[in-house]
Amino acid sequence: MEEIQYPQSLREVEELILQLYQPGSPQRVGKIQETLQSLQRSSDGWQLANSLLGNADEKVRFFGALTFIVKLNTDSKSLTEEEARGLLQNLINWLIQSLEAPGGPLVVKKLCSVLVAYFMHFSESWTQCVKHIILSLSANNGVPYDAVDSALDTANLMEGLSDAKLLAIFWFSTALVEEVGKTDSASMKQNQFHRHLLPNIADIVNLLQKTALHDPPNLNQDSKIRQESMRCYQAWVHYSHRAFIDAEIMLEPLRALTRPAIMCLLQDDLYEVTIELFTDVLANYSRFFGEEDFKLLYSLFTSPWAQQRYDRLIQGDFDFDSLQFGMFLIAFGDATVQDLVRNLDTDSQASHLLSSLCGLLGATGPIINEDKIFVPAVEFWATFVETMIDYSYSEDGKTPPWFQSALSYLMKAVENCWRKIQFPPMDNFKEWDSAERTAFKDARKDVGDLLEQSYTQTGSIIFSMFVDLILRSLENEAWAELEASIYCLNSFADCISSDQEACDALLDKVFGSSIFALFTDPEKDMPPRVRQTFLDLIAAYPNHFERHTKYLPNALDLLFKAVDSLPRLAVTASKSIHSLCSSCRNVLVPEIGAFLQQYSKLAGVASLDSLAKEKITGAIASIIQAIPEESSKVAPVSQLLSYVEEDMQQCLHILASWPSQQSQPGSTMGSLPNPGEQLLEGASARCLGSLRCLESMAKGLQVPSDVPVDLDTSSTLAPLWLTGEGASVQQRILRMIITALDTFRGRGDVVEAVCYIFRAGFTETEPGPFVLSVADVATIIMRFGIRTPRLGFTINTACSLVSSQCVGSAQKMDGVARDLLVWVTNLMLALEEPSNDTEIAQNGIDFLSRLASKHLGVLIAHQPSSSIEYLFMFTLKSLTGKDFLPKASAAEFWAHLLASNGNESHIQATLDSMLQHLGPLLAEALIYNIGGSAARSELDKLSEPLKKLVANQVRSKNWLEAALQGANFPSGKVTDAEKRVFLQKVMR
Amino acid sequence: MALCQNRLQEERKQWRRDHPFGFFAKPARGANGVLDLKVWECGIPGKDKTLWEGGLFKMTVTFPDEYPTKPPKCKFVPPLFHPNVYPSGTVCLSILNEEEGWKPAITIKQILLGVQDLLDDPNPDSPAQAEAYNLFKKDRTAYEAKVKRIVREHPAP
Repeated sequence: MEEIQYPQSLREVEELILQLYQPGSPQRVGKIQETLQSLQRSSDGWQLANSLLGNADEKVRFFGALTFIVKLNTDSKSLTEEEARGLLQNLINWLIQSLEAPGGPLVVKKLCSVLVAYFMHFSESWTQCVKHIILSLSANNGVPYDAVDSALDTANLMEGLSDAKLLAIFWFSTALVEEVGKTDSASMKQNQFHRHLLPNIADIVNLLQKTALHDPPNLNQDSKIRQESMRCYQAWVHYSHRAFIDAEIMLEPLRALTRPAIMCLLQDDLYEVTIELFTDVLANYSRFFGEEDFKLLYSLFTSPWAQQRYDRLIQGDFDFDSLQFGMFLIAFGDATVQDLVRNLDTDSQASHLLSSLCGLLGATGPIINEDKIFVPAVEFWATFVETMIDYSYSEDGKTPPWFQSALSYLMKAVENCWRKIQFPPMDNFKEWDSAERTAFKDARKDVGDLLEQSYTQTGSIIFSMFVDLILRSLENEAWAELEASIYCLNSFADCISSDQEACDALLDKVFGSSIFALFTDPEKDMPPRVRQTFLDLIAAYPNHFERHTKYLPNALDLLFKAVDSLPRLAVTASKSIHSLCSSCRNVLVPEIGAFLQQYSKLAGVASLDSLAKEKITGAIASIIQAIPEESSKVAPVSQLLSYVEEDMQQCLHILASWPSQQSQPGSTMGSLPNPGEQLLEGASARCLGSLRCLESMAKGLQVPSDVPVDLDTSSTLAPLWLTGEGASVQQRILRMIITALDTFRGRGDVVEAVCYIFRAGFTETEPGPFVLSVADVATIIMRFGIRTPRLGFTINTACSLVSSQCVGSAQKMDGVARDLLVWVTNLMLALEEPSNDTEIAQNGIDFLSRLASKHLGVLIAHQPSSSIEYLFMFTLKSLTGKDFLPKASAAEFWAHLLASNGNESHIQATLDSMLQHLGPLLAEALIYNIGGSAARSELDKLSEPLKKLVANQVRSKNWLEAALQGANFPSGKVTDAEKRVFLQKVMR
Repeated sequence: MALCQNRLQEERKQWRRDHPFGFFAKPARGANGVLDLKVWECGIPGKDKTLWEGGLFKMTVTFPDEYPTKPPKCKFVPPLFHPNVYPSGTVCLSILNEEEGWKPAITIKQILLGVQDLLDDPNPDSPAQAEAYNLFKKDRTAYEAKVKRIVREHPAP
């Protein structure tokens, strides 16, 4: 690529600058920029900037100004005081010259920024910067800064200044506070910017009073001047907020200008900037305004001017300036909301304003897509309700006088919301972009929140309102209204507990109406969304069905139909089926036959979503769980199981057909997976599906946690499932599991699904179909070897097994634990080093921890002794290793082991003698970590075994001392004295 | 304490005024419907074009009395399968750690966006739960399959 020649003369520099602004390849422009930047930064930069500013071309002069900024920001420290003063005069002179030069405002604005940059570096010596600029411009010459003291006041100096000069002064004054406002707190403090800016306030006020904030308004002045003046006011008010936050400085002189500023709202050319200022200050810094300001604003909102703007907005004009008015109104409402609420019964202005705010929720046009004021207005009403809540609780039990009026406004607002959140016709909605559709749903959610909040104030009145709306729209078959009404009713699901009875009666009206008939009528052509929202209603009030079971069959019937006929809603509907069946299980017991029959139809549907299948299986299982007579459960469990088995059969069937498919010619061509792979995928999906149904069934059959456990029956029940008529069920479950594992040996998800089935049985304290014999489970687990995927999870399942409370004698469990320990030991032997697979290492050590706390005898007696020694050393290696998870597990293991006491005497004796042996090694491993090898975040875990060591072992001090002095201590920076202090503190 | 309340009021205002699509965040409601500003219920959607797309995950954010000097605690309810989420559901993220990246200026919006970023971009250097961490490191395909299933179980409305 063409190289850029480093310029040798000013002319060449100027040429380069001109090239920079001409179209060219990005690479070339980049190169030019690089060259120019290095020139700017060079020691000749100051000189270069001056030379460039003398050029005739605007672009070159602009670059000159830019060069001054670069120099100021990188090199200002090199200037002496004298040089800095000279630079300032020079810069002001350039500003004056540029004002006279032909061309646009570009260079003048940039020079204002240069002066601001100068202030940022020399604020201490240029505190009256605004006046200095005004003085110089009026003298048409960069006067020395000292001249400011003896100068006339600003108002006089301004007389006769040209418009161009006035504009430049405003640009500078605005940029000045904006730049200072951007600095972070530390630099603000360090440079004392607040202190250095304050002396300018009076000058700024003078400037403003002569221009936009002239009282009365001076409409003859150029509109541009007044706009820049208003912008300047805006910037200074904005800055005053910062000064208040940082240093509680109130810029009183600025506050004195609010009245003329309000008048600017009425001037069309100042409207946009003024209303932005007021909205911003009301929202963020309303204490800037005094009582008189609020009075004035109040009356402004009742003026014809405001009425006209308001009407435009409500009639659907959402142009920028119209919307600005709405935001202004809301900001005013927000700032005065406390007064609005409390004066509602006495102040007609308050009620006028509130009516207007209520009306903002009813503007013409669909929300989001057109109506942009709705969402901010909903936010205002949320604040309104919160304020109501605050004040109604603080008025000691009595209903406050304003309450009824506030309530009626709120209800009106809610009704407006209901109207606006109705979905537009589907065809229109589909045309919106996805961001709009999401925002629409978000807006509905905001309304939902508002309703939930409102409930605390309205009680069941609001609930009743939506029930009536549902009934009315049902009658008219007005789908959008119906959907919105149901949606609103759903919002109260979590908050009606205080008014249970009233709301129950109201819900009864809904469910007792023609609603079920309507939704199951195939002739009705309602949008799917209505159906979905109704399903949500059923899901939102499951307890209602528990208390009012007469509608339960209708609800479940509808849900089953939805699963069957609306694939998109199958999962949602099946979740509702699950929650209803689970919470109403006792009532549904007599219907179990019907459920199984329903499911037999569904189970055969190939397209049924697997998640839906799982949910329904679980639902039915939970009803079976509620059958009082244990032996009566066998038949339905068996039947439900047979549906699950069918899937497994199909899986095997598919696989059986595989070899013939694979031999088809051309099956591996192209990028599509070959039919063999597709088949395999289909088969494994079925297998997984059926395993997950088993898990879901197992969970459904779990005894709910709120049911009391009858300890006496356990022993008589055990034979039913283990050896009695239920035994065949368990055998079938085990067979399915083994088939799955045999068929998909290498698949981690299959292994994982099997483990989940086991785990569902482990948590049970009473026998049941999935409370399998621990020996059988252990036998299956022990089939897994070092290459089994998800082995860590399998070992983790073994952990749960040995800590489970399953039925069976303690000795039997000990035996199982012993076998599993041999299995775990072999895995760890095969692993060799913890770092070879940290997952297996970690879970293996967790298994040892469980034994240490639940079956210590088994662990201690592990044979041969070399094997137990290997395990202990393995945990110590993990402790000093780099991997966090095995290290944490090892720390926990040792903490358990050291804390173990009160065991049978022979076990305790063996343990004690082992610990005498291992203590020094453990101390060494811990000190190795604490001495500097462990990460800070690991120390919490590592301090547990240290605490236990110190508390339980008399010789711990010697061991720790030896470790601190030993060769393995990881740091040379710790002195002997520090080690002594550490030891002393630890031992205390 | 007052600082904590004021800041939370302000956060609430800011959130209402401007929050990212698909997220929700609101103070929890105690008895009598009174808001508890120090406990927020939030929802984090999975990012578009990632494995997590289409899911919505609920998280409780609890603010200590010393907030904003000290960071809030973020906890997925129910606990989420993710390498940097503790089995309890607590999120392990540097900006939520007082000794690491926490700064009082961090807003709730930034926290929630930070957690959303974390979903698809786990930090393998600070594992918080063994299950997701190990699967993420050892068997990415299985990890992804599992995430997809979780997304299906927690669909965004």
